[in-house]
Amino acid sequence: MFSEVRTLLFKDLSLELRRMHHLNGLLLFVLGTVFLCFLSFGGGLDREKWNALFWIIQLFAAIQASGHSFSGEHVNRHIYYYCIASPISVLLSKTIFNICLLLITGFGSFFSFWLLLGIPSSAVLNFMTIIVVASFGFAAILTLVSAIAWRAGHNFSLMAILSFPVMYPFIITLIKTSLLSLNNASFNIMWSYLLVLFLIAFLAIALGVILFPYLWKE
Amino acid sequence: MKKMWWKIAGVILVGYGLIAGLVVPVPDLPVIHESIRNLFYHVCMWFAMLTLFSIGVVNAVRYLSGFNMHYDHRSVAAASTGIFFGLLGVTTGSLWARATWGAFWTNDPQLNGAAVSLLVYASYFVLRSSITDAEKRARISAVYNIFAFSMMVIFLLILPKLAQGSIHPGKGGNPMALVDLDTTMRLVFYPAVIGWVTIGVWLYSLKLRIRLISEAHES
Repeated sequence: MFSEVRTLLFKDLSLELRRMHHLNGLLLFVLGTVFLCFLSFGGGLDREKWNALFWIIQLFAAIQASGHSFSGEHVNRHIYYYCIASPISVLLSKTIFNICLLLITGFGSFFSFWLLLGIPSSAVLNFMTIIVVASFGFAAILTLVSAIAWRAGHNFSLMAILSFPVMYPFIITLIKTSLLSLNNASFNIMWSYLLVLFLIAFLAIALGVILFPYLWKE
Repeated sequence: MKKMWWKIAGVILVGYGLIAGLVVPVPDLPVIHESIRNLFYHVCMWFAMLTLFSIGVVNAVRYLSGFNMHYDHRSVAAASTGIFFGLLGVTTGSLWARATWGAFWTNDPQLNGAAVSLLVYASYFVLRSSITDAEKRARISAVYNIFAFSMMVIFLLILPKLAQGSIHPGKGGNPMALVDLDTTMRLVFYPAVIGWVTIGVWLYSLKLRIRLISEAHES
């Protein structure tokens, strides 16, 4: 199974590196949105609003990034994957690929925030840790939702509708954790919140592993 | 007649809950005063809603384990009846909040949890309406039902405990209303909960039968 995941992931990554259309599109989306925020807020943002803005932009970027997980390829190629790989390796490889995409977009949007709006805190390293955890959780939850939306056929409009209600527990905890880190909270306080974030992400992956096979076979 | 007993019991219990809820003596507490009587109505709606959503998700699991369309009908009937009770719960809760906290909606984890659970099932029905093929619709919506229900349970049970400053009873250090409830109120509250849950299940079974009949009529 690990070799299957590795091969599928390598295929996705090399396709992406060759064409770069997802990544460039996402980075442009993030940069454009942050620039719009800069124009409309002009730097007058306190911590709370900065934090909420950052994660809402990140959520939309994540929905956009993982929305293409399955719809980007032709149906015939999915039948081919169906023949050669187990559904679980397909799901895991897509999830890992989305984690990579979201890590790059997360840090991209972090640096564009830094450039244009500044960082309202000195706890930069803690915040970066949270970006890593967030990419993991976003990818874990949204990859399965994107499979559901892809199977239903109406990909993009459904993706946004279906992902919001299931994202709430994760994103609310995330916004709280990251506000704590911006307020220079010690790691002892943040620890329980990070644990909850990880638990939600692992639960999402476990449910995905159980449920995805039902979506995968036509 | 033999199968009717639980329906009759439900009607009697709800009738008892409705009338006794208005006439039974209640402790006169600050802020809440007589509005405490809403406990007999508001909290019962949540119990009924959660029971129905659980029936829905159990039937989604049963559908996926055998692909029998009957369980899909059950799952949908339970979800739509659950939404009905959820709306009633939000309405009664909102009126109660206006009377005691001064606003129809406050930024409270308990209330937001309620809103999210309604949103989950609203998008469940949007998903269903977007797929035309019946088998495919049943399969995909069962998957979403199980996934979204788990996320909703997390939101309802875990997050309010993490959040600080909730004013809802039983959360954030507030006394749990159901534990130190007045003894006479318990005598009304517990039967009322059982009664409303029974009525909820009855409504669900009616909804299911209507679905099955209209399905048979079409084919």
